[in-house]
Amino acid sequence: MVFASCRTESYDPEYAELRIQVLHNCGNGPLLYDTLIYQNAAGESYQVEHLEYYISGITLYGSNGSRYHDDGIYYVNARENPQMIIHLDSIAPGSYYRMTCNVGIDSNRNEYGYLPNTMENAGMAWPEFMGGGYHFIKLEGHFQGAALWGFAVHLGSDSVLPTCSTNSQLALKYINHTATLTMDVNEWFQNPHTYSFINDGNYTMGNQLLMGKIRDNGSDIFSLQQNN
Amino acid sequence: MKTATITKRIIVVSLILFTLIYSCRKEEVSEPQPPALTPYEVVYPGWIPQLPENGANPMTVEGVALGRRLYYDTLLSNNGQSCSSCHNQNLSFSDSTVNSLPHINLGWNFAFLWNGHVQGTLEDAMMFEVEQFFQTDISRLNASTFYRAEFKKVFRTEVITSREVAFALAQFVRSIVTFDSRFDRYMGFVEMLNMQELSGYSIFNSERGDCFHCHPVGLFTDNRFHNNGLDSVYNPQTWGVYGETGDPSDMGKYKTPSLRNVALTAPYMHDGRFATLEDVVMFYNTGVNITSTVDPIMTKPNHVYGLNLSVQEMSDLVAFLRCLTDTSLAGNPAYSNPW
Ligand code: HEC
Ligand code: HEC
Repeated sequence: MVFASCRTESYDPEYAELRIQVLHNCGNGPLLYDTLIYQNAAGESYQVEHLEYYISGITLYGSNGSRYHDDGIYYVNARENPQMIIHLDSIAPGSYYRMTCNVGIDSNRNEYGYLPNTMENAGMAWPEFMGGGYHFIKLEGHFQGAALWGFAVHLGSDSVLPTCSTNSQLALKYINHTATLTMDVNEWFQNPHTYSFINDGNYTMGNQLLMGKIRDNGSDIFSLQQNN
Repeated sequence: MKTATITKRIIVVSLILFTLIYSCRKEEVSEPQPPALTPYEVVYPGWIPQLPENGANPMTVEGVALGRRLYYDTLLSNNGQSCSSCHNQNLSFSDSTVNSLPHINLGWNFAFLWNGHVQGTLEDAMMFEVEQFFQTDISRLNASTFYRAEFKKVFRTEVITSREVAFALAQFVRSIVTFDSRFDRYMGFVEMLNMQELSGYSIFNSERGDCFHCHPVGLFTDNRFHNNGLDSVYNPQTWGVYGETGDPSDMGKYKTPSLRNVALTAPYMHDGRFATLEDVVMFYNTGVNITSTVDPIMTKPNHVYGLNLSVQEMSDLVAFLRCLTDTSLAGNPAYSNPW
């Protein structure tokens, strides 16, 4: 205990630590569920009901050319567990200018049974008939078409793994830094492809073309902000 | 039958009395140690998600045995019923007349009853059953020498309360696991499914039939609540979770039932509206209602509600559902009436 606090105060730890809180926005404000208040770039009103995904392969790029890579695969259920924290340790102190990660699981590890056998992971299984492994993301809700129709944006199988990147400055020297990683759900439907539930599709599973668009759109969904 | 039971009870009671007297004598020498309990291990295949444990109520052979006695004992109710009256071992511990929910693999559950009225552990569910549903008169259990001794042995208590009754029942119900269907043997590489069943499996477990999102392979329930599009108008008989929460987005949501042993649990859905599995599959194929709270998963590509399965594919799907029956459950002596 004393030892730990000494290290904090010395300002020169061997390693920095970062606790990242994962938050979800949609458009300009925090993600609210079950309310038809969002509009995608295609102009369609929609609401979100379910958001579940994995984050993995978190990599920080140091200004001096170094790289920090974390092996963890983190399960996020935005609605049921909104207090999700990712804990990164043993980071070389210094400044970082970029973070990349995957939404989902890289091909080396995307094999069903790789993750601990929990109810959550079992619920994320991607059927073997469709390539096996795990769902990378399940984003579900309703949008306004001729009626209030459902949409289910699911990604799975190696070729559609989204790689996300955000340019953000991190200055890490203590063992107790915190940051927030915010996903803007609306970004899944724009940049570079304007995605329309009506014209493209409301249901991505089994449709390589649609999943590919969502994968591409995933590149800029995150922003990272250091708090202290 | 009855006399046999009474004789058995007398023997057990005298044995316990004897033990008590015997231990009283020993007390003069040293504090008597209660006999150690034997941990109970629930056995299930490795590919099934880990069974969550409840540290507050560790399972023991003695606790499971006590829960089993209670489960089959009419002493718990005030109207001559026992749990087994509506949860019949031959029907996967369900009942066709009252359309009860089956008691299988419930240890994996954290929300109970069709509308999710009880949230929490299996112990909480049993507490509800004992206190609210049966309104068990605990003094009757305390008046029984047999139960007093059994509860003392398992829970180290002198006086029985509804908590211990619920805990014992939870231990027994948690012990009821069923993973010996033809599908399990197929997963274990010891039996092959025929072409029709395999076709049904691929419809079930792909975007074709899209059943797996709510009934994932393994436990065949996601332990969540969904509106699967049964109704277009809502009233107290069809509003499900909404009746509990008052949240309009919960309208028409019901507990996803496990599809294990589903061939044994007719009629189907919370109100038993479908008599056969063919009817159920027909519903998913062409009968889904579009409302604002129907689950997004029920909308198929191109905004179609329905699966577009051929007659052949529908019967393949039913053939697969029939592979989920564990025929060994009905005769499993570990779960039968112990009296
Ligand atoms: C009179 C018939 C009847 C009796 C007796 C009965 N049950 Fe039930 N049980 C039902 C019905 C019907 C349901 C489904 C009702 C609902 O969900 O609204 C049910 C549901 C349950 C559930 C919820 C299962 C799930 O998957 O959520 C549990 C647990 C349960 N019963 C335990 C018991 C126990 C323990 C006893 C004895 C103490 C018992 N029941 C006695 C009729 C009965
Ligand atoms: C969106 C989630 C969802 C999907 C997808 C889904 N189900 Fe269900 N299923 C449910 C729910 C919820 C119930 C209970 C509904 C009720 O009783 O009101 C249910 C009930 C059932 C029942 C009745 C079980 C019983 O014991 O009463 C069967 C059989 C069934 N589903 C089979 C299927 C099949 C086959 C498919 C694929 C074609 C499928 N389900 C797709 C959620 C789903």
